[in-house]
Amino acid sequence: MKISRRGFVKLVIGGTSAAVLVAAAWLLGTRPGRETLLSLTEQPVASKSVTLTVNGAQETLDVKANATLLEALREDLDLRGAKPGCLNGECGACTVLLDGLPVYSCQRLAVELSGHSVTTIEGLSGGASLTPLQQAFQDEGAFQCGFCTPGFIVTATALLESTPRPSELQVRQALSGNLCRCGSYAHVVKAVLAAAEAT
Amino acid sequence: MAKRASSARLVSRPAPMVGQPLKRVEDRKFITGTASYLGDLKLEGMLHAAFVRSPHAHAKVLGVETERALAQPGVVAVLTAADLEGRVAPLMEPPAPGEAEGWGANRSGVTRMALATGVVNYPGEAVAVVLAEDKYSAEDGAELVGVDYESLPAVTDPERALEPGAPVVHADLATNLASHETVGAGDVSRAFKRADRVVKVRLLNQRLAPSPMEPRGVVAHYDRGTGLLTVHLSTQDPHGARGEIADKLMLREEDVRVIAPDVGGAFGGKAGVYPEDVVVAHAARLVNRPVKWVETRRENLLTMTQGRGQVQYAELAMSREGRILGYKVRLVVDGGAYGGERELARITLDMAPGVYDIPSFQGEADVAITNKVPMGAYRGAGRPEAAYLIERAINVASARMKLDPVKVRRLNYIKKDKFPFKTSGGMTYDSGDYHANLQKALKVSGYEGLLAERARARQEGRLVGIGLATWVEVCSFGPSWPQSASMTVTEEGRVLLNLGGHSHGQGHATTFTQVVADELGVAVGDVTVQDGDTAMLPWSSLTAGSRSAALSGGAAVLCARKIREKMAAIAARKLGARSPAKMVFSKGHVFREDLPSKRLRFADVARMAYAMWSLPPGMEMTLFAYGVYAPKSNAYPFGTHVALVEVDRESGLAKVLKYFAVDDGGKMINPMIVEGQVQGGVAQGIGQAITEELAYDQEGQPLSTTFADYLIPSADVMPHVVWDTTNTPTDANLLGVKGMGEAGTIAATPTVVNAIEDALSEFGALVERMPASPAYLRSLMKR
Repeated sequence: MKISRRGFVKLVIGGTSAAVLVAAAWLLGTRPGRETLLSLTEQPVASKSVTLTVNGAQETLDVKANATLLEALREDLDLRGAKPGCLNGECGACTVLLDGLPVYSCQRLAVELSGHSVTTIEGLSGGASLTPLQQAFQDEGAFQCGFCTPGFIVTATALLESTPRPSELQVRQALSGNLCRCGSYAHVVKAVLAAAEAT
Repeated sequence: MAKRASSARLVSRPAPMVGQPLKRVEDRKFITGTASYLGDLKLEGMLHAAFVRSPHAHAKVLGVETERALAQPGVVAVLTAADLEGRVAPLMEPPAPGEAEGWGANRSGVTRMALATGVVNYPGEAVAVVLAEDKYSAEDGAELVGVDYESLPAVTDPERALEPGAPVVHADLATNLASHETVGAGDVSRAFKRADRVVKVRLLNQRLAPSPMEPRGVVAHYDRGTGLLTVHLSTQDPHGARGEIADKLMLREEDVRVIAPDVGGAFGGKAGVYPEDVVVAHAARLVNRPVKWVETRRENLLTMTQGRGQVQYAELAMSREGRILGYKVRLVVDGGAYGGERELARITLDMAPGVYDIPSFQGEADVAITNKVPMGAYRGAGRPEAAYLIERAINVASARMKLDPVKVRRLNYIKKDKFPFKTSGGMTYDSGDYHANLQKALKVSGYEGLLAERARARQEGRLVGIGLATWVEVCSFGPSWPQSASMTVTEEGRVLLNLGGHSHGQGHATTFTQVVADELGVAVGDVTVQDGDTAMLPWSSLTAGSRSAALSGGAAVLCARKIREKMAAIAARKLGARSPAKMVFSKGHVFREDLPSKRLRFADVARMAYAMWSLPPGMEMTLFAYGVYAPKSNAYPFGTHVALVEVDRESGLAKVLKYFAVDDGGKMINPMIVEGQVQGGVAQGIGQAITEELAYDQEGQPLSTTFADYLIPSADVMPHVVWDTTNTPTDANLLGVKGMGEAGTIAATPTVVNAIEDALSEFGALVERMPASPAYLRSLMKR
């Protein structure tokens, strides 16, 4: 059975806000009964120390229970390449690699991620040089305003890692969870195929 | 004569940069994640704002209670309408006598406050704002603001809004009619009397959300020492925003500086100043700390202006062989809570006759006030609605009269020798050759092959159709609305171009680098393009309406010519030339046309401009120029698009199998960038045709507030667009460009819906509304 992007998205969203409250309640040392959940907004949110690897470096962060991975990256580590486009897990602008797989970082809580490894757009090229995929994005003119671009590049990086010679259909399906309102899809697909060709 | 020819050979001219598919010079920051958008901005001591919004489409506000919010840890202040009284001017107010004319004039006499005062008129309208130390505290605080509402009857349908007995949105106006527009020429009633056939059609052109991937956002910072209010704003119009914000906060314009950072898409939705922008700017002054607000996606889909929204009625008076004798159009426009931009309805009427030589036309538009977010510009802004109506109406007429839609178009196109051509919509088109463009589109699409493919598919029982549309739009809006630029050539010979038009995906840095490189004979790497800061330029009008190539391009050329004139005089003096006009700028050098062997480096001439002793007597030091460019006329790009679409008989899902576009934008500065604009525009046009819908329930509650409900196209549904061009010269502006930013959006919607209707031809159904969703198309599959 094929699950469409939007069908998948709806499944994920359903679970998220509850997950935040449950995690927060857990940190407060309570079982998440109904009263606890209702009174949470009135209470200070607990923090917890997590240690994870970000772009190859070990980072220990003091994160609030309700902080998403996206917030931890942007606010605590000043890595602002991943973008908040919808915060609903629908647009893909916040995509990062979690243990090598693309995830919507707005849909993961930072407290869950001790011991895990995260790669962001900033970690792909190590600063000075561009990866072949990044270069292909420029060569093909694969974007316009650039806001969604880090998400696309991260998603496509994971695709090429797992499927070094993807078909056009595979590329389109892999990228179907990333939205681009400028509508640069045709050139993004060309860029990914060109990068696959070049490596 | 011989001597001239030999010196011309010596003057080796490099290939011009204009016309080259130069890779974008601004790209590195985008592909490395180092671009800086509004949301990436952090200032010391910054507060975060969250808005309290109306859950009702229409309600009285009986009271606002802020005590609990103020008690929330982290909350610094809560502002309501009462706090703005006398400090923030109304965003709209009834015009003084004689002021109700001109673009943007408030003809309806409606009043709009930055925070709703007494009544809320659309769901999501801001009622109060909470300022807090962090985003979470602000949002929690907003939850705790208690607003006492008494709900009022709401009206969301524009036709219903104009019926007697409909709820009146603004009690003081006693009507929901915001404005009434008429356009026309020729003897329409005679045309309809003479007609062999009259074809009538009603079409719904649904409202659309611009939905840029980067939502709206603002960071305001007030410097109490200097009195300067700096507003960082995700906008396509920094200078316009400066004037608006100053006006609403009752400040002098020089006391407001607007900075647009990297902007993640706008599509018309970031053209104006919003209530939140004004409130945040006011709040920053009030609390004397920087204040930041970035909207959520839900807020974006609720409160960013929405485009289109027309109920369209068309009547074509046709001769037997398919000649259009007369055209009548009536539009009922969903203006939203404050009447929206009535000018967009006017543009639809002006452009209604499209690419056709229609001898008589009569158009009228009623803009209705409804309990929805105000209508505003969205990519195309008035022109897609016009192209959609005529291109759909011609298709319906052709089908009903059993005529070939391609032949009917050919029969009615404005002939190429008639340009400049004044249409019955009152517009004077600069240039065009629609027949040649169509011919190329038929060739590029392999039209005969498509017909065969359709026949084969139908034999297999599949619902496959072909759609074609020829679009035209008015671009540049320039003669009375210029853009400006300034240029500095530094002591090192670097060229800095500062533009009033702002780039948010259009690739201005690359496009105008190419223009400047040619004008000054310098390398692409020697040019830097900047934009988005009102402190850098006295004035400009905005990026919108596919106008920046013509206007910013023209302003850049004016600047370059002023600089060149000065550098030529400096170089001529050094080289002992008689006249500066004989100087050549090429490959980073300046030399006499008749003595190319004796060259000065461009950078050396620049350095001389910064040394008093190197200057001709009386010349001012430094190299700086300012240019304001207004072209002599608007430009009218056009093109023909062809699509092959299949509708799944079981599910009703429409899928674009093949898509071809042949566009004519005059001269192209960077074909790669132009193609990107077309590909992206087609994506948005297909979105309107098949997937995008802003649904409301009976009470005016919005049902599409996430990207899971409001479906913008994704990579797996977008076809590859086979794109080609024709090139009809224009002298409408300095660069001979026509504007291609909206082309795809305008063309794709009628092209795809025509194809869908053709696919459903066995049912004889009219595709009356969009999106042509699976459920809707299934409902049409009845004999």
